[in-house]
Amino acid sequence: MKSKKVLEGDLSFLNLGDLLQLLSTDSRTGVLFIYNNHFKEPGIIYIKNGNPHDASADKLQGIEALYSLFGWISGHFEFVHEDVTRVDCIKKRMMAIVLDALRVLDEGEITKFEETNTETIQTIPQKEFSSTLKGPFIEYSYVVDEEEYPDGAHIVTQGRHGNWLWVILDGHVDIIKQTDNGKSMVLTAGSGSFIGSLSNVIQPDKTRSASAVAHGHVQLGVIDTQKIYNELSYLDDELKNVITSFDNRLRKITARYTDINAGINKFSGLPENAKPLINMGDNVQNVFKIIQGEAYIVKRTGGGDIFLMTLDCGDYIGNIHFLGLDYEPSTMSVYASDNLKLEIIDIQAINNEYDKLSVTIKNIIEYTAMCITLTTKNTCS
Amino acid sequence: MAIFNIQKREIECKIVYYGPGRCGKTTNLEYIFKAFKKQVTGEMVSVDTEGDSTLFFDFLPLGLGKIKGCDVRVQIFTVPGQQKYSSTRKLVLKGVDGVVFVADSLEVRREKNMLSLKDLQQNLKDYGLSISRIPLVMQYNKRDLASEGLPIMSIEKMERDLNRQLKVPSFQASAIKGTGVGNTLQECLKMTLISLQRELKWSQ
Repeated sequence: MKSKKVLEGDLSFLNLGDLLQLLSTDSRTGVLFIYNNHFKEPGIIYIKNGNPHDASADKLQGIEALYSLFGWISGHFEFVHEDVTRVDCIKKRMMAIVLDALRVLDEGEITKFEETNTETIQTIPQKEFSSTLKGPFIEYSYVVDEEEYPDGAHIVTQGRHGNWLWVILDGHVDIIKQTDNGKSMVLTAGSGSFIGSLSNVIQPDKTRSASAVAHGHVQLGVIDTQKIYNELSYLDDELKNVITSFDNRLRKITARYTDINAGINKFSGLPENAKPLINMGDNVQNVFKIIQGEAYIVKRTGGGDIFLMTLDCGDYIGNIHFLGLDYEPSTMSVYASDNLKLEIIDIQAINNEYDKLSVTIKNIIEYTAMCITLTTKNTCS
Repeated sequence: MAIFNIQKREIECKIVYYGPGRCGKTTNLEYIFKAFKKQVTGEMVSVDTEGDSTLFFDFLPLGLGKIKGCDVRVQIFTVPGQQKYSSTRKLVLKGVDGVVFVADSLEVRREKNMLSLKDLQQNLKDYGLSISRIPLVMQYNKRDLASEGLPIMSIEKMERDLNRQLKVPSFQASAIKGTGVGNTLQECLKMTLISLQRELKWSQ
């Protein structure tokens, strides 16, 4: 048989595992040369009727050489069709070799040699998302359907009614808020992020607090709202109130962020008669519910006190651990109106109730905390 | 994406057993290998991957006919569950034609099942495949453990957890005893071949 180069190509396009399978399926006979610029000599695999008989790579021979070649993950290959007279010193079947070599590669026992590219690669500049949020792990069992939106499509419009919840499976979504003072983009949500809030499920008469617009092509998973609704409806009222109040914090901080972006002074807004209630760093373990009056959350900075939001009747003050929000008392101060009345709540009971929630609801709460934290950071900076 | 081997007049397709670690994928394959010995060509390749071994063998589905005059040869694989085996997983899932999802009936594995199914969806998506379109069969394995007094989930519960949206054929099984193993494979083969046939007609 005359030697003839019959196949050549790039290993980064067709890797060695695929290449060997291809030659094996077609029961090819010949010699495979692999070139990688880390090595002077090419790696060689002798193949007869689709099965490797011998190999050499750098200083190695036989099966060891063959395995090490799986680490040459980029480079050039050539297959030369010719008779192979080598002694068959590799007894394993092709698929056994491929599977085992990949296992060893994945376990990190084969050194990887990627070709250093001498040509300059033009990298496509990725759009910088200044405030991109990635959500937690998506629990597939809660996704009932998938929807696709083209760039610019409105998924949710501020002010409209609706209690649907989505999770972003792929792509990015811009969250845009409009207030009397102006309009601004609050953040860009990435995969795993949720669109819609639990309070929209708890209180279906609530309108959407911001718009969600597809940024490029977006794939969304529709969350089983009925399942979430059912789960929430069995909850103790107190926990439901905690969740709603927590969602309100996100609404409030988002509105505040938008106002400040529109030119409102971030140090303004705190009523003059407000008195300090909790100072940043105070050791306050209790969680309080507001029965009457108002409380104001303020971030003390070197430049002055940044007013963040007003809490009123039904809202909670204090650190509720499971919400995962680092606010008062550790990083925020709280001021009170003259007529403020508080009640201490049994946080342990709420905690126990929270533990029973499904991962998806916990994820949505966790995601809400991430949104509040990020928006607060953007508001203060 | 089945491979046509024109020389051998053979169509080679791939069925993958997927599921959480220790759910019984390996036991399924070991049983098939033993019980359908005549239909297995060549030996079983077993690679020791952490948690589960990864298995592979060639299988000739008998009695399911030919496609366009070609014999059908099926490669049957299991996938290593551990995250780090990404190259192996990639190789195994590339060009997969049919999937058997083996779920563990043990109550304590409930979340593992759901995570694994989600993982399957993501992995398939990475290859441009959709979990709702690929031939897929569910197997609720380890049903026999109930008789040993271990808490297992009801079929209704498992259907609700895993199959409510997918609505694919599902089978109860006890792979260790061989119950349900053949039915699962047979159904998956049937679905895979039907889907291949349909694909071929469309491409004409």
